[in-house]
Amino acid sequence: MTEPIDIQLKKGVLELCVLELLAQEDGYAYDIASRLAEAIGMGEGTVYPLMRRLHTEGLVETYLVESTSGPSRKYYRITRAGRAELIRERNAWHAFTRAVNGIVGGRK
Amino acid sequence: MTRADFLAALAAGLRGAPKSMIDEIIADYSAHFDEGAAANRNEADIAAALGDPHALADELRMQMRIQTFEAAPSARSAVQVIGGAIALGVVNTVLLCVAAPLLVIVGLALMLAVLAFAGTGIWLFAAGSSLELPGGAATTVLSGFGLIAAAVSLSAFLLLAGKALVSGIGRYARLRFRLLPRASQPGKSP
Repeated sequence: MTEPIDIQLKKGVLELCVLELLAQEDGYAYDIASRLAEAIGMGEGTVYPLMRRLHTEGLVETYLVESTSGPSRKYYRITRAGRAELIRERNAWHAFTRAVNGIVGGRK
Repeated sequence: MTRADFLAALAAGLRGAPKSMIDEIIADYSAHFDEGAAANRNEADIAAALGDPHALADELRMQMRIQTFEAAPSARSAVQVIGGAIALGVVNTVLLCVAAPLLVIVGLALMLAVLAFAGTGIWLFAAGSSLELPGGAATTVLSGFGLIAAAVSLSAFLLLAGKALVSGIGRYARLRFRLLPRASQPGKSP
């Protein structure tokens, strides 16, 4: 059961992308899911198991916002531990892409 | 697939999980359908973009099992993590057929060693003074004590190694199954 390389690559950066989005501003899962689905092309449903895991690991926390139209919305906020993890993953990402680009070279 | 179909399939896949967790997950995905509807998307499109509900349920349940194991490691939760990993196809079949029996044999041998050490140790320790072995009673009793200590440390090592192994399988499963392709994209299903 070998996966296409693009799926394997996306898997590795999904958590980084979610933390990065939340570091910019708090968000709700639908918004995060549709932004990521559009940007890197993945199943929107994948975001929910990830959000649960980030929550149990204490990297994000949730709060409810009452809505004027319809039910209240669950927002996610990045925690201090989440920011620390984001910095770790961002550094790893930059170091990795630099190294790979050094080998792969630019697009001709 | 309609909203009702998707949620029913998800709930069916989550059967056996704690009710509070199922309710929470169903509420999350219901909210997703509500948001999608508010953005003028139709149910079938939203469901397709979410991905396969059975695969999502498998991943969520695996996550729960890993969490349970890490909070309270026990033989039962360990079996659930390993079983889940096998069901998800995370553990390679060849690896499973070769490595698993080997691991079981090594584990059993070590457990037998623990029992032998403990048995002999207790016997020497309790009856040592009346056995009249070379070296005298004190030596015999002390050797018995040593064997008991060896049995205790070996079993502690076995427990730690087993826990590390199961945690490792759990972490690996988590890495393998984070991204599900959109159901609407042909040729990308796992």
